Amino acid sequence: MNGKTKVTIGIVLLIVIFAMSVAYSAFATELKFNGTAEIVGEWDIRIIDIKAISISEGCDAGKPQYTNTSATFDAKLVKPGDAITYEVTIKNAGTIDATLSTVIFKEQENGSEAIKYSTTELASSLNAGEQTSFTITLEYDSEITEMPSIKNKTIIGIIEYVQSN
Amino acid sequence: MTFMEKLKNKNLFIIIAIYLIITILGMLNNAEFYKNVINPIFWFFILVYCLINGCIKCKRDTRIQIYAILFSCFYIIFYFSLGCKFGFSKSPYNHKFFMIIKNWLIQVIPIIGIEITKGVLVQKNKKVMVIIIFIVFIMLEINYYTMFNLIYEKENLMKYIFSNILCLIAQNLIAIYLAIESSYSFILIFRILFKSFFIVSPILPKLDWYIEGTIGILIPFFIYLVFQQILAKKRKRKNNKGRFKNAIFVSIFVFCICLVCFMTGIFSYGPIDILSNSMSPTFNRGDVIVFYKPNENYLKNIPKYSIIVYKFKNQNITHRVIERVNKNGEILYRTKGDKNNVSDRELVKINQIMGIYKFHIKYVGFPSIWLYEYLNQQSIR
Repeated sequence: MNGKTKVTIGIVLLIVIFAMSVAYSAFATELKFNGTAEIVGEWDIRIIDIKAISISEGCDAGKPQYTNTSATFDAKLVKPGDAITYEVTIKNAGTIDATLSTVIFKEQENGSEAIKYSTTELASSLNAGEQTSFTITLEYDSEITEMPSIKNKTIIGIIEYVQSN
Repeated sequence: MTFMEKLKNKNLFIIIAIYLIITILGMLNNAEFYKNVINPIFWFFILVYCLINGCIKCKRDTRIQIYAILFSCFYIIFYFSLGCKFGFSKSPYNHKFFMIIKNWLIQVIPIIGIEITKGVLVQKNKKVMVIIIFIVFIMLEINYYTMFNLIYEKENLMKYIFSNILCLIAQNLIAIYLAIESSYSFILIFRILFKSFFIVSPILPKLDWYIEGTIGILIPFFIYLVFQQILAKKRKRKNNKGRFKNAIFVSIFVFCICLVCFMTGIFSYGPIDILSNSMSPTFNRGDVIVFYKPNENYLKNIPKYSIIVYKFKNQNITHRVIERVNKNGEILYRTKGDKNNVSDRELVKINQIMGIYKFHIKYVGFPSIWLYEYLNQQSIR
């Protein structure tokens, strides 16, 4: 390879890396700073939708957002007994059959006791090309009689799939 | 190359070209069956065909093979160490013994077949044919199933192209260069070892598309640089003009690495685009600000009027601190955009803060903003 070709390749390399940096910067304006693992190819399980399917009158389900590997929503409940249910859809867009290995829903410390949550069960297997949904319901405890001092709660859900046997 | 060798190679190329059509159709119709059954079986038979017909004629260079093993080990350590910065995630692969063997056969046999056939075909061939082979082999490894699924998702499609297809191009470039100049065994050993590590390792670094993509592009160029030195030593070439151009190439390569490190926040400084004019006249929409990440103590005592970058509902905001609030022992900051009349409604927690403004570069952020707006097709508040 002669010197001229080498410099041309170097310039192409620089342009490609620069273009990728521009794109990264554009996506980073909205997504997480460190990003999340996205294995695109044979293994590609991702969230394809999140929507509120049931909202008590006067409540605000916000605008749920999702990336390939994370979903967030901001529910506002007004009075005891109010509830909002979100449906999250996950798709196996890869070519490897997957089995559900871990499902953890945990509350962050110092969250409001007045907000309860429940989830439906996830399908134990998710073959290539299939999709599955689960719901998460947030409820303002109907037995609460006093205004709670802490008014918000963060729930973190971790759902992991591994390759099926 | 003898007439018989030419004929055998021609037949081999025709088989591969026909298989490319099967690949596209197979991936679009039944990707799982194609990937797990057809693809490994096809490449297995191609390897058998090559062995029977004596197509495999790799230059036996023990030194190159040792370099390949050493480089693979170095790369695996480097790749794994990125997890220390970006975190680790559980490997999705099943680690039962028979599943490891199954995964290995499904994924590594095609790699062996592809690299050997590619090496055999490009050796002593015309330039035009080498380009055609280069294109065919890139197309053979594209995941059409994923591409088809992403066709209406502009952002994900772009990420896929950057993190997969550009890497494939770089990888094929270096593979063909090495096959012509030296031997295909380097890339073959490297790909086998790395894939095997990927299949066996219970945890993997949590890298996003940008890191995966830039590594996938820069590593082949790094291999190229290393081989340039090895081959130059071997041929004992001394050319000052060549050295100068080599120095330009090395400088570009080093600059690219620095750019990637800077973009991903590996250094304690990081960049961020400014989307609105809320901080005008300090800086405006389209500027890029550079922020640094201070330590925990500094974050608890950020001086009044400092400009901070923080996360708020999946968005990055850069505003000025106007008050430090101590609420039940928790340190919070009230912020305000210089151009805004009122302060921001929500107080900023320490764990939301990404960094402190250091300086800004005018207009550099516009390409990213245009791309962001094009992909989102919505106005920025």
